[in-house]
Amino acid sequence: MRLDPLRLGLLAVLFAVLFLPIVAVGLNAFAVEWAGSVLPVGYTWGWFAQMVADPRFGQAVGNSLILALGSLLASSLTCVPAILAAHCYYPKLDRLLGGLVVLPYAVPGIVMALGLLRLYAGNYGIVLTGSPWLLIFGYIPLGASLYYMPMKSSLNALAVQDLLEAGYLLGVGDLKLQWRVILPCVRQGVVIGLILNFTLVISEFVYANLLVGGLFPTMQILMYVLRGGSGHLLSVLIMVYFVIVLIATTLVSLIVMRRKEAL
Amino acid sequence: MSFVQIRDLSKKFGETAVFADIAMTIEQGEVCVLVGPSGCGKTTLLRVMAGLAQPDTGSIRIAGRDVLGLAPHQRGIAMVFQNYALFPNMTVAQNISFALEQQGKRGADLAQRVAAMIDLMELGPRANARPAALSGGQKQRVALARALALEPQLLLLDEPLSALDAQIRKRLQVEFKRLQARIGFTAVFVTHDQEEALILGDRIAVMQSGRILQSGAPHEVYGAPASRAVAGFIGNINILEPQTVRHVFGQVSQDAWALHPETISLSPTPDAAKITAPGESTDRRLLGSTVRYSVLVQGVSLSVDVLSRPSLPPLAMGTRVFVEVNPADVRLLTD
Amino acid sequence: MTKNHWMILALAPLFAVLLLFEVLPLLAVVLSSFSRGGSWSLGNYGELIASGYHRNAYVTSAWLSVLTTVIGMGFALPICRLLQRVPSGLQTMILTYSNIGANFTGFPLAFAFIIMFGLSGSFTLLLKAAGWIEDLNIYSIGGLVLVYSYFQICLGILVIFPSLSAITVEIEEAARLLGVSRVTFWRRIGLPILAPSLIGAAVLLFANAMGTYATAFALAGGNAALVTIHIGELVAGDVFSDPNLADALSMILVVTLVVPILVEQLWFKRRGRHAA
Repeated sequence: MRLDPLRLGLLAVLFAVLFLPIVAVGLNAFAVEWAGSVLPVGYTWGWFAQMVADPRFGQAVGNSLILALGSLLASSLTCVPAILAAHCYYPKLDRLLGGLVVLPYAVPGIVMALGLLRLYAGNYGIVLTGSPWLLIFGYIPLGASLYYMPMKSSLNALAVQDLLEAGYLLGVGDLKLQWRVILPCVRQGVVIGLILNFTLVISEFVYANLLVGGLFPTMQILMYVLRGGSGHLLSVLIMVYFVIVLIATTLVSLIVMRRKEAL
Repeated sequence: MSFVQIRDLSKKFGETAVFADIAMTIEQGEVCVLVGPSGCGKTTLLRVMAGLAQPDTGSIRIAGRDVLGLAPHQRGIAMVFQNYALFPNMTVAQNISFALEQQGKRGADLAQRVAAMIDLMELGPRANARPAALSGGQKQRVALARALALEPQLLLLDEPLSALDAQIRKRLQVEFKRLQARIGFTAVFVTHDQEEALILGDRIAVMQSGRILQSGAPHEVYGAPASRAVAGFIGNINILEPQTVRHVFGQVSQDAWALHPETISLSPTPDAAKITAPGESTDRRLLGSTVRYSVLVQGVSLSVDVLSRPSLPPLAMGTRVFVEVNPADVRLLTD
Repeated sequence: MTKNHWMILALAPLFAVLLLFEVLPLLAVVLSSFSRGGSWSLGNYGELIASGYHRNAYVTSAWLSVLTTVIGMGFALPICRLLQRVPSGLQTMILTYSNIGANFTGFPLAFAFIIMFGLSGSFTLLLKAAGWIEDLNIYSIGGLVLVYSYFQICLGILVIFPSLSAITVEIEEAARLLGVSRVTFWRRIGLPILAPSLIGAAVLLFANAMGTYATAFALAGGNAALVTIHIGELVAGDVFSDPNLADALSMILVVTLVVPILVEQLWFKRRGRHAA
């Protein structure tokens, strides 16, 4: 692999450009004042202090984390067993599952939100809108593909039928086989799915705003609320959000790198 | 009564018969090799014996017990797969101990059995490695270890060496024979490689299109093939129809002749006491210890194997030579 | 086979959730789009097609998406080629940050660009001082193009990079030995091999842009002339609220996204994917 300085330099420049938006927001979070000048006038921790003191901040971060954790529990318990069972025992349903899982890529969030409003805003006697439960269940179809793809790539690399048969011959039942053999082999795929689902949930705005809104304000909703103000508080919130996403994404890339080594 | 008795076993898949009228007996401590081309039904037959598939008719008795109604792990069998089927998340030792755990073994007893198996298969240095870190040959040894640890009454092997390259395969064939001589297990070994069948089997069953064509000791099946199909499958044989026999050797015969290449000898002059015919060498191939010639006799190409000797120079192409056949070596094919 | 028939229960929760929270809502939208004033009608679609306001939004959304898709692919492809030659660890790092960039949408991204390119943004000032531009309105469609391009390029990198492995070192070397020029290589060998994946990537980027709501909303509020924004306004807006119309507009959007996907699937099923 050639690595001449020109190309490396070019890549570094591109990399820097990728980071510019983050840098801009970061500077603004620390800026005493930044309007009409190329760089901020002065730097301060003041905005962070103000934000932390604001009760809405704690509430929003707390809500986002609660929502994310609840969502992770619900999505993992729903998706992981289903993906395993479909791959190992029900190939025809597996194809159907594959199609349903990618549906959100063809149907934008706003359209799905519309449908959810139609069904669960009281038209049929069920009112789920305003409740984080609607979000928890609503996010499952959106995030299912994030479990499905990494798990599938692990499953396809295993000779699942042979493993299951070897287990049957030893007298091992299906549940035990899944728990002791198949699941451990797709562990990395599941973890990747968990982390990506986490970032999905804390980044999500459309559902949160339209289906629940101020009744359960998440970080994204708070950003919406803060948009009109001085911008510095908004920048602080965005930085907090960004750090969380950065940690999560770095974890995923570490796992992916370990996967590649193991092969 | 034989250790393993199979009677009238048949299985259909829709309208097509996968195998039919299968009858086999295997004595204790015998290795029976099921050999046949791909798609002949041998793997399905093995799986039926294992309990992974159910037959339509027939019975299977192992050590006097009727096993058809029993789940695989209740039949006293163990199986080795072509693609090893080792549990990827477990080490070598764990793969073996997991199998023993299912039999209810625990604690010191379990540990001792695992250690004994690892010793036997010489897997010591790799005992804590995961399958991904092992070579093909090592993986198959682990698979065998896992199966033998269960002390099965019948060991089933589904083309276990087919995925390995030639060198490793030969080595494992030797190792298998040695293990079998030492432990004395009873086994059914499925393969499509007729050479492997001759090396490993105490008994060979040649299968084609779902039926067993012939079964017997290797030298019987090889030396006295009962049918054209068997003759064509085992070894590299010359088959001559009655008309061709007349045309080439001037002999009258009701049945076709099967002539093994090693039973035909070459001579520069005809010997009136033997059956001979004049020919011309058209091809020569060195196979190591033998030289295989193609000799054109009266327009018919015969395969002739001669032991290679440094003192005898190989024949050049186009050499005139007489082929000689001993009547006692001629096998008649009655089908 | 000793398959445990209770395993089907493992599938039940997910299918139930998919049914209740994905399939049925979508069905509800489809059906309601045909309902007008309480009865079955195509009137919603008629109104949308007739309305210049909505047609404008559709056209704007469409060309914004096409343009940013082209920009995204145009930058992503050479970047990926560069990336191929970089050591594996650095590769993973850059791909990771592309992943963040592709998801860095909505308020965070919009606000970042306002800081940089807003009326008194740093770059606006720099560019004005350098005399390159007169004025820059980040809140205009041009601004949207700039902001969309950011995540489109990131997404493009993520989607195109894996498929570049189809052009192996061996293929490049074989071409070099034959004396094939770089341009000819790409025209006759490289692009044809990559075509299926590139088209798939383009469809994905297009769908991504067409379906974006949060970013556009953050930047231009409810006034932006985009299909997704119009749908949002029709549902929850202060002035216009016509849910059925929103449904119809949604269906038009979905069809616009599904058609390229279907065409791509059928086209490549018939021709068969190229193998390296």
